Amino acid sequence: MKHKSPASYGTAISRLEEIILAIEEQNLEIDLLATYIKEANSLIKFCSGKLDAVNKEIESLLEEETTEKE
Amino acid sequence: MTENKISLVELNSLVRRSLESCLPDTYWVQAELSDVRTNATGHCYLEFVQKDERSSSMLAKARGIIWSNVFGLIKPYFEELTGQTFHSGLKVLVEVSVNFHELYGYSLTVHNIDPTYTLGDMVQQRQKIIKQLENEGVLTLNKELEMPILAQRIAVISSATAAGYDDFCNQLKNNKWEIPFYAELFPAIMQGDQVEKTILNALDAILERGDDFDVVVIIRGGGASSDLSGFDTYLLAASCAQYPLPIITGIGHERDDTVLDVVANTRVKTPTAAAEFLIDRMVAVYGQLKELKIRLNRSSVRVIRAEQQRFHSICAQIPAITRSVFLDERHRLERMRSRLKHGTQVLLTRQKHDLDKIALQVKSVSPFEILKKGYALVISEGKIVSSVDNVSLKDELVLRLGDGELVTTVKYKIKNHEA
Repeated sequence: MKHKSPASYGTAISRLEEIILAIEEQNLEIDLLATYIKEANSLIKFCSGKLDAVNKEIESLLEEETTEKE
Repeated sequence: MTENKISLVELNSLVRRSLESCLPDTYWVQAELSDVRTNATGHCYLEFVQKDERSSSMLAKARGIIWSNVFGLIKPYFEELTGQTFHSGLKVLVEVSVNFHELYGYSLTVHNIDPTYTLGDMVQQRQKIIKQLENEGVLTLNKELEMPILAQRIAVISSATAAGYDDFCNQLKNNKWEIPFYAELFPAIMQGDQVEKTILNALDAILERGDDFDVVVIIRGGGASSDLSGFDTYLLAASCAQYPLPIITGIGHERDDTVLDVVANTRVKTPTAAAEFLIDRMVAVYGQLKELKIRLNRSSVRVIRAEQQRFHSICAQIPAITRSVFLDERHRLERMRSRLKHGTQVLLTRQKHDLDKIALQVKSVSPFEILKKGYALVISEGKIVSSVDNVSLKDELVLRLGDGELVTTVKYKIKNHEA
Protein backbone atom coordinates (compact mmCIF):
# COMPACT_ATOMS: atom_id res chain seq x y z
CA MET A 1 0.00 0.00 0.00
CA LYS A 2 1.44 3.32 -0.99
CA HIS A 3 1.14 6.15 1.54
CA LYS A 4 1.15 9.73 0.34
CA SER A 5 4.03 11.86 1.69
CA PRO A 6 3.41 13.17 5.24
CA ALA A 7 2.62 16.88 5.41
CA SER A 8 5.57 17.66 7.64
CA TYR A 9 8.22 16.28 9.90
CA GLY A 10 5.95 17.05 12.83
CA THR A 11 2.96 15.11 11.53
CA ALA A 12 5.20 12.18 10.53
CA ILE A 13 6.70 11.95 13.98
CA SER A 14 3.27 12.11 15.58
CA ARG A 15 1.93 9.26 13.41
CA LEU A 16 5.05 7.23 14.15
CA GLU A 17 4.53 7.71 17.85
CA GLU A 18 0.92 6.61 17.45
CA ILE A 19 1.89 3.35 15.69
CA ILE A 20 4.61 2.50 18.18
CA LEU A 21 2.33 3.09 21.13
CA ALA A 22 -0.31 0.85 19.60
CA ILE A 23 2.21 -1.96 19.21
CA GLU A 24 3.64 -1.49 22.68
CA GLU A 25 0.22 -1.55 24.24
CA GLN A 26 -0.56 -4.67 22.18
CA ASN A 27 -3.55 -2.93 20.72
CA LEU A 28 -2.89 -4.06 17.24
CA GLU A 29 -4.52 -6.75 15.20
CA ILE A 30 -2.01 -9.23 13.89
CA ASP A 31 -3.37 -8.97 10.33
CA LEU A 32 -2.67 -5.30 10.25
CA LEU A 33 0.78 -5.64 11.83
CA ALA A 34 2.62 -5.95 8.52
CA THR A 35 0.77 -2.93 7.10
CA TYR A 36 1.60 -0.80 10.04
CA ILE A 37 5.23 -1.81 10.09
CA LYS A 38 5.43 -0.87 6.43
CA GLU A 39 3.93 2.53 7.19
CA ALA A 40 6.26 3.06 10.18
CA ASN A 41 9.28 2.26 8.07
CA SER A 42 8.28 4.72 5.42
CA LEU A 43 7.72 7.40 8.07
CA ILE A 44 11.14 6.76 9.58
CA LYS A 45 12.68 7.04 6.18
CA PHE A 46 10.91 10.30 5.56
CA CYS A 47 11.92 11.83 8.91
CA SER A 48 15.50 10.74 8.60
CA GLY A 49 15.67 12.18 5.12
CA LYS A 50 14.17 15.45 6.32
CA LEU A 51 16.68 15.73 9.13
CA ASP A 52 19.53 15.19 6.76
CA ALA A 53 18.29 17.77 4.27
CA VAL A 54 17.65 20.46 6.89
CA ASN A 55 20.94 19.72 8.60
CA LYS A 56 22.81 20.20 5.35
CA GLU A 57 21.03 23.47 4.64
CA ILE A 58 21.67 24.85 8.13
CA GLU A 59 25.31 23.91 8.07
CA SER A 60 25.81 25.75 4.83
CA LEU A 61 23.94 28.81 6.15
CA LEU A 62 26.06 28.89 9.28
CA GLU A 63 29.16 28.49 7.18
CA GLU A 64 28.02 31.48 5.12
CA GLU A 65 27.51 33.53 8.24
CA THR A 66 30.98 32.91 9.62
CA THR A 67 32.70 33.45 6.27
CA GLU A 68 30.82 36.72 5.89
CA LYS A 69 32.15 37.83 9.23
CA GLU A 70 35.67 36.99 8.23
CA MET B 1 26.17 154.41 87.77
CA THR B 2 27.78 155.46 84.53
CA GLU B 3 31.11 155.96 86.19
CA ASN B 4 32.64 152.58 85.36
CA LYS B 5 31.84 152.60 81.67
CA ILE B 6 34.19 150.82 79.33
CA SER B 7 34.25 150.35 75.59
CA LEU B 8 33.14 147.18 73.95
CA VAL B 9 36.64 146.45 72.86
CA GLU B 10 37.76 146.81 76.45
CA LEU B 11 35.02 144.48 77.64
CA ASN B 12 35.81 141.90 75.06
CA SER B 13 39.45 142.25 75.90
CA LEU B 14 38.67 141.54 79.51
CA VAL B 15 36.76 138.46 78.49
CA ARG B 16 39.64 137.36 76.33
CA ARG B 17 42.22 137.79 79.02
CA SER B 18 40.10 135.95 81.56
CA LEU B 19 39.57 133.13 79.21
CA GLU B 20 43.24 132.99 78.43
CA SER B 21 44.18 132.79 82.06
CA CYS B 22 41.40 130.47 83.18
CA LEU B 23 41.50 128.07 80.31
CA PRO B 24 45.05 128.17 79.07
CA ASP B 25 45.31 124.47 78.32
CA THR B 26 44.23 122.38 75.41
CA TYR B 27 41.27 120.14 75.81
CA TRP B 28 40.28 116.96 74.06
CA VAL B 29 36.66 117.43 73.18
CA GLN B 30 34.07 115.23 71.48
CA ALA B 31 31.83 117.01 69.04
CA GLU B 32 30.07 116.69 65.73
CA LEU B 33 31.34 118.49 62.65
CA SER B 34 29.05 120.88 60.97
CA ASP B 35 29.56 123.28 58.08
CA VAL B 36 33.13 122.34 57.16
CA ARG B 37 34.73 124.76 54.70
CA THR B 38 38.20 125.06 53.31
CA ASN B 39 39.41 128.03 51.31
CA ALA B 40 42.29 128.80 49.00
CA THR B 41 44.58 129.61 51.82
CA GLY B 42 44.32 126.05 53.09
CA HIS B 43 42.71 126.98 56.37
CA CYS B 44 39.69 125.03 57.49
CA TYR B 45 36.75 126.86 58.99
CA LEU B 46 34.10 124.79 60.66
CA GLU B 47 31.48 124.56 63.28
CA PHE B 48 31.31 122.12 66.12
CA VAL B 49 27.91 121.10 67.45
CA GLN B 50 26.48 118.85 70.04
CA LYS B 51 23.00 117.50 69.54
CA ASP B 52 20.75 115.77 71.98
CA GLU B 53 20.91 112.00 71.36
CA ARG B 54 17.20 111.46 71.01
CA SER B 55 15.62 114.72 70.06
CA SER B 56 18.49 115.93 67.85
CA SER B 57 17.96 119.39 69.18
CA MET B 58 21.06 121.52 69.48
CA LEU B 59 22.68 121.59 72.86
CA ALA B 60 25.94 123.38 72.22
CA LYS B 61 27.75 125.06 69.40
CA ALA B 62 31.18 126.56 68.77
CA ARG B 63 33.04 127.85 65.78
CA GLY B 64 36.33 126.24 65.03
CA ILE B 65 39.41 126.85 62.94
CA ILE B 66 42.21 124.61 61.76
CA TRP B 67 45.17 126.59 60.43
CA SER B 68 46.52 125.39 57.13
CA ASN B 69 49.80 124.08 58.54
CA VAL B 70 47.91 121.91 61.03
CA PHE B 71 45.15 121.01 58.62
CA GLY B 72 47.69 120.00 56.03
CA LEU B 73 48.94 117.37 58.45
CA ILE B 74 45.82 116.11 60.15
CA LYS B 75 43.58 115.97 57.11
CA PRO B 76 45.49 113.21 55.27
CA TYR B 77 46.20 111.46 58.54
CA PHE B 78 42.51 111.47 59.45
CA GLU B 79 41.34 110.44 56.01
CA GLU B 80 43.78 107.61 55.77
CA LEU B 81 42.85 106.14 59.09
CA THR B 82 39.11 106.49 58.74
CA GLY B 83 38.75 106.10 55.00
CA GLN B 84 36.53 109.14 55.10
CA THR B 85 36.99 112.71 54.04
CA PHE B 86 36.86 115.30 56.75
CA HIS B 87 33.26 116.40 56.34
CA SER B 88 30.19 117.55 58.16
CA GLY B 89 28.26 115.05 60.10
CA LEU B 90 31.23 113.17 61.44
CA LYS B 91 31.75 112.77 65.14
CA VAL B 92 35.32 113.68 66.06
CA LEU B 93 37.65 113.86 69.00
CA VAL B 94 39.84 116.96 68.69
CA GLU B 95 42.38 118.68 70.78
CA VAL B 96 41.46 122.34 70.98
CA SER B 97 42.42 125.51 72.68
CA VAL B 98 39.86 128.08 73.57
CA ASN B 99 39.99 131.53 72.02
CA PHE B 100 38.11 134.68 72.36
CA HIS B 101 38.60 137.54 69.95
CA GLU B 102 37.21 140.96 70.52
CA LEU B 103 35.83 141.08 67.04
CA TYR B 104 35.29 137.50 66.04
CA GLY B 105 34.14 136.18 69.39
CA TYR B 106 34.45 132.68 70.78
CA SER B 107 36.19 130.04 68.79
CA LEU B 108 38.17 126.89 69.20
CA THR B 109 41.51 126.30 67.52
CA VAL B 110 42.17 122.73 66.58
CA HIS B 111 45.64 121.34 67.16
CA ASN B 112 45.16 117.63 66.86
CA ILE B 113 42.64 114.93 66.16
CA ASP B 114 42.15 111.32 67.22
CA PRO B 115 40.73 109.48 64.23
CA THR B 116 40.17 106.30 66.20
CA TYR B 117 37.32 108.00 68.00
CA THR B 118 35.66 108.78 64.69
CA LEU B 119 36.35 105.28 63.54
CA GLY B 120 34.86 103.89 66.68
CA ASP B 121 31.83 106.04 66.20
CA MET B 122 31.50 104.95 62.60
CA VAL B 123 31.71 101.34 63.65
CA GLN B 124 29.13 101.98 66.29
CA GLN B 125 26.76 103.59 63.81
CA ARG B 126 27.23 100.69 61.49
CA GLN B 127 26.53 98.18 64.21
CA LYS B 128 23.36 100.05 65.09
CA ILE B 129 22.10 99.82 61.54
CA ILE B 130 23.07 96.18 61.26
CA LYS B 131 21.32 95.37 64.51
CA GLN B 132 18.19 97.12 63.37
CA LEU B 133 18.16 95.23 60.08
CA GLU B 134 18.68 92.00 61.97
CA ASN B 135 15.76 92.69 64.24
CA GLU B 136 13.59 93.38 61.23
CA GLY B 137 14.66 90.02 59.80
CA VAL B 138 15.98 91.50 56.56
CA LEU B 139 19.70 91.51 57.20
CA THR B 140 20.54 88.33 55.31
CA LEU B 141 17.85 88.37 52.63
CA ASN B 142 20.06 89.40 49.74
CA LYS B 143 22.80 87.04 50.89
CA GLU B 144 20.30 84.19 50.82
CA LEU B 145 19.40 84.86 47.21
CA GLU B 146 20.84 82.25 44.91
CA MET B 147 22.92 83.82 42.22
CA PRO B 148 21.66 82.49 38.89
CA ILE B 149 23.89 79.92 37.22
CA LEU B 150 24.15 82.12 34.16
CA ALA B 151 24.95 85.59 35.46
CA GLN B 152 25.68 87.33 32.22
CA ARG B 153 23.34 90.31 32.13
CA ILE B 154 24.70 92.81 34.58
CA ALA B 155 23.21 96.07 35.82
CA VAL B 156 26.10 98.26 36.93
CA ILE B 157 25.62 101.08 39.41
CA SER B 158 28.61 103.34 39.22
CA SER B 159 29.78 106.74 38.29
CA ALA B 160 30.15 107.14 34.52
CA THR B 161 33.34 109.03 34.97
CA ALA B 162 34.91 106.74 37.51
CA ALA B 163 37.82 104.61 36.33
CA GLY B 164 36.28 101.57 37.97
CA TYR B 165 33.44 101.27 35.49
CA ASP B 166 35.65 101.32 32.42
CA ASP B 167 38.01 98.73 33.83
CA PHE B 168 35.10 96.52 34.77
CA CYS B 169 33.56 96.68 31.31
CA ASN B 170 36.84 96.08 29.54
CA GLN B 171 37.60 93.04 31.61
CA LEU B 172 34.21 91.52 30.83
CA LYS B 173 34.38 92.33 27.14
CA ASN B 174 37.89 91.05 26.64
CA ASN B 175 37.87 87.95 28.83
CA LYS B 176 40.12 85.32 27.36
CA TRP B 177 37.45 82.63 27.09
CA GLU B 178 35.30 84.93 24.91
CA ILE B 179 32.37 84.43 27.23
CA PRO B 180 29.67 86.95 26.32
CA PHE B 181 28.47 89.44 28.93
CA TYR B 182 26.08 92.33 28.68
CA ALA B 183 26.63 95.22 31.08
CA GLU B 184 24.52 98.37 31.31
CA LEU B 185 25.32 101.40 33.38
CA PHE B 186 22.86 103.00 35.76
CA PRO B 187 24.76 106.10 36.84
CA ALA B 188 24.89 107.27 40.42
CA ILE B 189 27.06 109.54 42.50
CA MET B 190 29.48 107.41 44.44
CA GLN B 191 30.65 109.83 47.11
CA GLY B 192 29.34 112.62 49.24
CA ASP B 193 25.83 113.01 50.47
CA GLN B 194 24.08 112.12 47.19
CA VAL B 195 25.12 108.48 47.41
CA GLU B 196 22.00 107.17 49.07
CA LYS B 197 19.54 109.01 46.86
CA THR B 198 21.22 108.29 43.53
CA ILE B 199 21.88 104.63 44.25
CA LEU B 200 18.30 104.11 45.37
CA ASN B 201 17.11 105.75 42.16
CA ALA B 202 19.38 103.50 40.13
CA LEU B 203 18.05 100.41 41.94
CA ASP B 204 14.49 101.47 41.13
CA ALA B 205 15.37 102.07 37.50
CA ILE B 206 16.83 98.56 37.29
CA LEU B 207 13.70 97.03 38.75
CA GLU B 208 11.57 98.83 36.21
CA ARG B 209 13.35 96.90 33.48
CA GLY B 210 11.76 93.74 34.77
CA ASP B 211 13.61 90.60 33.76
CA ASP B 212 16.44 92.24 31.86
CA PHE B 213 19.19 91.55 34.35
CA ASP B 214 20.64 88.65 36.33
CA VAL B 215 22.66 90.56 38.90
CA VAL B 216 23.44 94.09 40.13
CA VAL B 217 27.00 95.26 40.60
CA ILE B 218 27.77 98.38 42.61
CA ILE B 219 31.32 99.51 41.96
CA ARG B 220 33.59 102.47 42.28
CA GLY B 221 37.32 102.94 41.99
CA GLY B 222 39.25 103.23 45.19
CA GLY B 223 40.76 106.62 45.81
CA ALA B 224 42.96 107.98 48.46
CA SER B 225 40.22 110.10 49.82
CA SER B 226 37.44 107.63 49.62
CA ASP B 227 34.40 109.01 51.29
CA LEU B 228 32.39 105.96 52.12
CA SER B 229 30.09 107.43 54.72
CA GLY B 230 27.32 107.63 52.14
CA PHE B 231 27.22 103.84 51.98
CA ASP B 232 26.52 103.48 55.66
CA THR B 233 22.93 104.62 55.72
CA TYR B 234 20.03 102.57 57.01
CA LEU B 235 17.79 103.28 54.04
CA LEU B 236 20.35 102.17 51.48
CA ALA B 237 21.19 99.04 53.42
CA ALA B 238 17.55 98.14 53.98
CA SER B 239 16.72 98.58 50.30
CA CYS B 240 19.66 96.50 49.19
CA ALA B 241 19.01 93.78 51.75
CA GLN B 242 15.48 93.33 50.41
CA TYR B 243 16.38 93.77 46.77
CA PRO B 244 15.13 90.95 44.56
CA LEU B 245 18.33 90.62 42.54
CA PRO B 246 21.65 89.55 44.06
CA ILE B 247 23.92 92.56 44.63
CA ILE B 248 27.68 92.45 44.30
CA THR B 249 29.61 95.32 45.89
CA GLY B 250 33.11 96.28 44.81
CA ILE B 251 33.46 99.69 46.32
CA GLY B 252 37.21 99.57 46.15
CA HIS B 253 38.67 99.72 49.59
CA GLU B 254 40.60 97.54 51.95
CA ARG B 255 38.93 98.59 55.15
CA ASP B 256 36.10 97.24 57.23
CA ASP B 257 32.97 96.60 55.31
CA THR B 258 30.36 99.28 55.05
CA VAL B 259 26.81 98.31 55.91
CA LEU B 260 26.17 98.00 52.21
CA ASP B 261 28.95 95.44 51.98
CA VAL B 262 27.45 93.56 54.91
CA VAL B 263 24.00 93.17 53.34
CA ALA B 264 25.15 92.57 49.79
CA ASN B 265 25.01 89.06 48.38
CA THR B 266 28.69 89.07 47.49
CA ARG B 267 31.38 91.50 48.47
CA VAL B 268 34.63 91.95 46.57
CA LYS B 269 37.37 94.46 47.05
CA THR B 270 37.56 96.15 43.69
CA PRO B 271 35.70 96.50 40.39
CA THR B 272 38.37 94.26 38.84
CA ALA B 273 37.64 91.61 41.43
CA ALA B 274 33.93 91.90 40.63
CA ALA B 275 34.60 91.25 36.95
CA GLU B 276 36.84 88.31 37.85
CA PHE B 277 34.17 86.88 40.08
CA LEU B 278 31.58 86.95 37.31
CA ILE B 279 33.97 85.55 34.72
CA ASP B 280 35.10 82.74 37.01
CA ARG B 281 31.50 81.70 37.63
CA MET B 282 30.85 81.39 33.92
CA VAL B 283 34.09 79.49 33.37
CA ALA B 284 32.93 77.00 36.00
CA VAL B 285 29.60 76.62 34.20
CA TYR B 286 31.32 75.93 30.89
CA GLY B 287 33.59 73.48 32.67
CA GLN B 288 30.61 71.65 34.13
CA LEU B 289 28.98 71.39 30.72
CA LYS B 290 32.14 70.02 29.21
CA GLU B 291 32.39 67.42 31.92
CA LEU B 292 28.80 66.37 31.49
CA LYS B 293 29.42 65.99 27.78
CA ILE B 294 32.38 63.71 28.44
CA ARG B 295 30.43 61.63 30.92
CA LEU B 296 27.51 61.31 28.53
CA ASN B 297 29.86 60.23 25.81
CA ARG B 298 31.54 57.63 28.00
CA SER B 299 28.32 56.17 29.30
CA SER B 300 26.84 55.93 25.83
CA VAL B 301 29.92 54.16 24.54
CA ARG B 302 29.80 51.79 27.49
CA VAL B 303 26.15 50.95 26.94
CA ILE B 304 26.65 50.39 23.24
CA ARG B 305 29.70 48.18 23.79
CA ALA B 306 27.87 46.06 26.34
CA GLU B 307 25.01 45.57 23.94
CA GLN B 308 27.36 44.66 21.14
CA GLN B 309 28.97 42.03 23.31
CA ARG B 310 25.63 40.63 24.29
CA PHE B 311 24.62 40.44 20.67
CA HIS B 312 27.82 38.70 19.66
CA SER B 313 27.59 36.11 22.38
CA ILE B 314 24.02 35.33 21.36
CA CYS B 315 25.07 34.99 17.74
CA ALA B 316 27.96 32.76 18.70
CA GLN B 317 25.59 30.42 20.46
CA ILE B 318 23.35 29.86 17.44
CA PRO B 319 25.42 27.17 15.68
CA ALA B 320 25.88 25.17 18.88
CA ILE B 321 22.24 25.35 19.78
CA THR B 322 21.12 24.42 16.30
CA ARG B 323 23.38 21.38 16.20
CA SER B 324 22.27 20.16 19.58
CA VAL B 325 18.65 20.43 18.46
CA PHE B 326 19.51 18.24 15.53
CA LEU B 327 21.28 15.68 17.61
CA ASP B 328 18.33 15.50 19.94
CA GLU B 329 15.98 14.94 17.07
CA ARG B 330 18.15 12.23 15.54
CA HIS B 331 18.32 10.46 18.85
CA ARG B 332 14.62 10.64 19.12
CA LEU B 333 14.18 9.08 15.74
CA GLU B 334 16.65 6.34 16.66
CA ARG B 335 14.81 5.61 19.83
CA MET B 336 11.58 5.36 17.90
CA ARG B 337 13.15 2.94 15.48
CA SER B 338 14.31 0.65 18.26
CA ARG B 339 10.97 0.95 20.02
CA LEU B 340 9.29 -0.09 16.83
CA LYS B 341 11.55 -3.06 16.43
CA HIS B 342 11.37 -4.06 20.05
CA GLY B 343 7.64 -3.49 20.29
CA THR B 344 6.97 -5.59 17.20
CA GLN B 345 9.17 -8.39 18.44
CA VAL B 346 7.47 -8.45 21.78
CA LEU B 347 4.07 -8.44 20.16
CA LEU B 348 4.89 -11.33 17.87
CA THR B 349 6.62 -13.35 20.57
CA ARG B 350 3.63 -12.92 22.82
CA GLN B 351 1.25 -13.97 20.11
CA LYS B 352 3.37 -17.00 19.33
CA HIS B 353 3.52 -17.88 23.00
CA ASP B 354 -0.27 -17.63 23.32
CA LEU B 355 -0.65 -19.70 20.19
CA ASP B 356 1.72 -22.35 21.54
CA LYS B 357 -0.26 -22.57 24.72
CA ILE B 358 -3.45 -23.13 22.82
CA ALA B 359 -1.81 -25.73 20.62
CA LEU B 360 -0.66 -27.55 23.69
CA GLN B 361 -4.13 -27.50 25.14
CA VAL B 362 -5.58 -28.64 21.89
CA LYS B 363 -3.08 -31.39 21.76
CA SER B 364 -3.78 -32.55 25.27
CA VAL B 365 -7.51 -33.02 24.62
CA SER B 366 -7.00 -34.49 21.20
CA PRO B 367 -8.04 -38.22 21.04
CA PHE B 368 -5.17 -39.00 18.72
CA GLU B 369 -2.69 -38.86 21.58
CA ILE B 370 -4.80 -41.26 23.55
CA LEU B 371 -5.10 -43.58 20.61
CA LYS B 372 -1.27 -43.57 20.28
CA LYS B 373 -1.10 -44.93 23.77
CA GLY B 374 -2.89 -48.16 22.71
CA TYR B 375 -6.42 -47.14 23.30
CA ALA B 376 -9.00 -47.84 20.55
CA LEU B 377 -12.31 -46.34 19.63
CA VAL B 378 -14.98 -49.02 19.52
CA ILE B 379 -17.57 -48.37 16.86
CA SER B 380 -20.70 -50.46 16.24
CA GLU B 381 -22.93 -49.68 13.34
CA GLY B 382 -21.34 -46.31 12.97
CA LYS B 383 -21.72 -45.24 16.58
CA ILE B 384 -19.10 -45.17 19.33
CA VAL B 385 -19.65 -47.85 21.94
CA SER B 386 -18.76 -46.85 25.47
CA SER B 387 -20.46 -49.60 27.49
CA VAL B 388 -20.46 -53.47 27.36
CA ASP B 389 -24.15 -53.43 27.85
CA ASN B 390 -24.69 -52.04 24.39
CA VAL B 391 -22.90 -54.98 22.78
CA SER B 392 -24.21 -58.52 22.20
CA LEU B 393 -22.29 -61.68 21.46
CA LYS B 394 -21.42 -62.33 17.82
CA ASP B 395 -21.77 -58.51 17.02
CA GLU B 396 -19.36 -57.07 14.51
CA LEU B 397 -17.26 -54.30 16.03
CA VAL B 398 -14.90 -51.84 14.32
CA LEU B 399 -11.81 -51.01 16.38
CA ARG B 400 -10.34 -47.71 15.31
CA LEU B 401 -6.67 -47.39 16.24
CA GLY B 402 -4.36 -44.47 15.69
CA ASP B 403 -3.11 -45.73 12.41
CA GLY B 404 -6.09 -47.78 11.04
CA GLU B 405 -9.10 -49.97 11.79
CA LEU B 406 -9.71 -53.56 12.87
CA VAL B 407 -12.98 -55.46 12.31
CA THR B 408 -13.67 -58.00 15.12
CA THR B 409 -16.45 -60.22 16.44
CA VAL B 410 -17.44 -60.38 20.09
CA LYS B 411 -16.56 -63.77 21.52
CA TYR B 412 -17.69 -63.25 24.99
CA LYS B 413 -18.18 -60.26 27.36
CA ILE B 414 -17.34 -59.53 30.99
CA LYS B 415 -18.89 -56.66 32.94
CA ASN B 416 -16.95 -54.90 35.73
CA HIS B 417 -18.56 -55.07 39.08
CA GLU B 418 -18.33 -51.84 41.05
CA ALA B 419 -16.76 -52.22 44.37
